[in-house]
Amino acid sequence: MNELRTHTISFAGSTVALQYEGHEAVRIIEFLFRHIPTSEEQGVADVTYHLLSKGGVAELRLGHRENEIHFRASEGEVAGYLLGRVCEALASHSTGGMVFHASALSWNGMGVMLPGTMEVGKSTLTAWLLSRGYDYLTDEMVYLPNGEARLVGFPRPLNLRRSSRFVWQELRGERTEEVWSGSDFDLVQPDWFPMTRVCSAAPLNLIIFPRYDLRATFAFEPLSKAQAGLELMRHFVNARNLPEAGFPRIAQLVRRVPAYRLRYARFEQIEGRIEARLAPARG
Amino acid sequence: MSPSDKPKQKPDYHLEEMDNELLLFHPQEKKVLYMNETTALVWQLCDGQRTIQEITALLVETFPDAAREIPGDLENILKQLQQERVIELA
Repeated sequence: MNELRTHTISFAGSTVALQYEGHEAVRIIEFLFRHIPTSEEQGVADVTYHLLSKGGVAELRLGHRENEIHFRASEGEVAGYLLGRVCEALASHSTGGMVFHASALSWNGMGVMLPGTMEVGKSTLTAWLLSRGYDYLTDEMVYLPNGEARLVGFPRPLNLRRSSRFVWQELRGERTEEVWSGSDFDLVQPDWFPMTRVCSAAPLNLIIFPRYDLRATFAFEPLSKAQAGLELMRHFVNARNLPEAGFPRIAQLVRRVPAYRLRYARFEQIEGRIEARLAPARG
Repeated sequence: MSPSDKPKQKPDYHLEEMDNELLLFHPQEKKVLYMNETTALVWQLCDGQRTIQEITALLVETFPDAAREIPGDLENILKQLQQERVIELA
């Protein structure tokens, strides 16, 4: 018998509640939020979404009564859409620290943040780094608590474009149940990559602004602090919620953490280079 | 733009100086600007008191080896700052 359940997700000081019912809905919630701790707090959600399923079709309801959006589709499609909406809601309501549109990984306990928009290929780069033994924090949303150079990731499944499938499928994953697909994307659990560990936080030791470009001449060059500040402001999701739009915090951050610009056409060009930049931070 | 114009920084910008470069932020317009060392120097000279001619003379005196390029470079930078609406000409 189906029953309405509630799953609460807190991240970066904001909370989303998911009310769900039905077999497919349960599967979607379990798949998407497997690595994200459930919040103990109840009744404090900034946003509530409803996810219902019946007869193999999942339906997502967003918003309130007159403005409600109904979205009916396959499991993979609904999962991808819900994941995007949850990330947006968490980021836009966050007030405690800085939230960036970025991937984050950890290598031997040292953290790397890769800020970038969807088209720069940061999720695919993240997948490749996972295959190189990095630990996973997130492919989408990073939180830096107030005044700290510490990465807290939102460890969702990687959202990889269909066009990059040929790349990540070569990375030795075998467990096909860890991959769900939508019309133009694949959701891939970090567990799909052999040896990958998911960790919730890491110190921030390095910032890299990546861009994949098939025709690019390889470049991995340091940015000045002011250049890094400008770039970071472009990927700063919750600036409007912070005093002075978080500008003084950005300045403080780039004074503490080195930043680089990376342009690459093939992953082999990157091999060993990020680790070399992290080595000085290890001391 | 004439030599007697007095460029002046527009108010309300938050300023962070980092290794002689500048990062400017306008909270109302949500605008962020990066200035390299040269542009930052020019911007800092735009105090509303000095004319463009005086700024040129000051830069030529400070950087005599670049005396020939300075007038053209300064004009380009001031045009750029004007387009970005971070200075006004009085």
